[in-house]
Amino acid sequence: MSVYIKSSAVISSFNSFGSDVELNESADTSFIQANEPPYSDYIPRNLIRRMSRVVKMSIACSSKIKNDSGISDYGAILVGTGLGCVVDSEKFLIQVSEDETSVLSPTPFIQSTHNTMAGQIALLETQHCENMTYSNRGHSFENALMDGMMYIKEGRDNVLVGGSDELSPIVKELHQKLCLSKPSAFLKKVGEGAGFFLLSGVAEKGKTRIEDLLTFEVNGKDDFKNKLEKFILKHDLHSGLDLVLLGAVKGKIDPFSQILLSLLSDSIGVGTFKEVSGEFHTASAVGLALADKLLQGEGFDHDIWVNRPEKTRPKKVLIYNNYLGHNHSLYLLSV
Amino acid sequence: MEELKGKLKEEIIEILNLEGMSPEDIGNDQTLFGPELGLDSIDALELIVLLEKNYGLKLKSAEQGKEVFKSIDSMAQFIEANK
Repeated sequence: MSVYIKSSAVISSFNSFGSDVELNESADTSFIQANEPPYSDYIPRNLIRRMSRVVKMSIACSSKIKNDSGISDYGAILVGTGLGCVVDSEKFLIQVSEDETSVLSPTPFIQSTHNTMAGQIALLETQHCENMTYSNRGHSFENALMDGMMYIKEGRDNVLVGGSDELSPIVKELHQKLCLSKPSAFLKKVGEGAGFFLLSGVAEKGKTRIEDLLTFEVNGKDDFKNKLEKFILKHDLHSGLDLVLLGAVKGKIDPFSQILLSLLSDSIGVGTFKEVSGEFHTASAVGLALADKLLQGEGFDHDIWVNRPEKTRPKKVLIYNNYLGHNHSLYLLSV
Repeated sequence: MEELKGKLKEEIIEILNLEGMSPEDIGNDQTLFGPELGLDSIDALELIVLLEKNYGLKLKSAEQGKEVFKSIDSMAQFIEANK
């Protein structure tokens, strides 16, 4: 059974909440900040003040999907996050450290629950279906998506799946330190954002179809190459592929992405989504939203292209992502 | 006293994350836990922490809390009387 993307919403340096949104370019070149929509348009005002940004991003995306699709009953709600409500977790831990647990304010403690997004969406939308927030480093979103695809294959419909992460001062600092221990090709601006999708098993003309999703770890470059070759052979990607969207940045294609490109035809279009999303655990959710946008013929004005695809509306797209050289994933999409 | 009331309003807006509000939006005699501000029991805990951390003051009982947290006026009076 195939899985289709019925509707999607994204918050990154670009977002899908208005038309013609400019990229949010931070003055600080070390990170990419999300271009957030006005949350009061999507979340009751009295609830906003008790939500961390990562929850607000998730709820705004799910609310946009509900408005766009007209679907208000979900088969399941599944969200992936690498670090969850990390800003409030940091606030809480700093308070514990500074005040030695004597006078702790309750709000950062309550909001530091890090795997809360799916539950909060379910509560706000009064949904009684299964909800689960996955937190598995660079595969957090992929595991949520894989679970969603399995629900569809079991016969559920309208499964809401998303990935979401927020930036904090400590995350920025740690990311920079982590990058310094990696080969320079893995150095990227750290980012934040959310990508949400309504999955369906019912074919609808023109909607993006998720043909395959593969997640894996590798033991060296040869192992990586073998895994790619099997995937390429399985789907016959030597022909018919219009575009590869890499979780990389233009000037610094990482060694794994370079291996992938060496196995594919030179005529295939190549784009880099971390140019606009930055690096974070669930950046692939933004990559998938961008691929869906391109497959739906919406285009993307910003320069992410290493090799601009010949077709303005690609029909078949491969996404490859890794998180700082680990947690590899491949998505094959078509329309 | 007016300076203290202004400071209290700013602290409350920041600590309770009252987005879109400014000190001018909170009247000195306005009921803090009434329908307008919509504060709840978690906010009451935050105000207790605020008094203890920023002013070194502890409340003796829940009954006293009800009196002290009635309004900005009552909070300022309590701080002035016990500093």
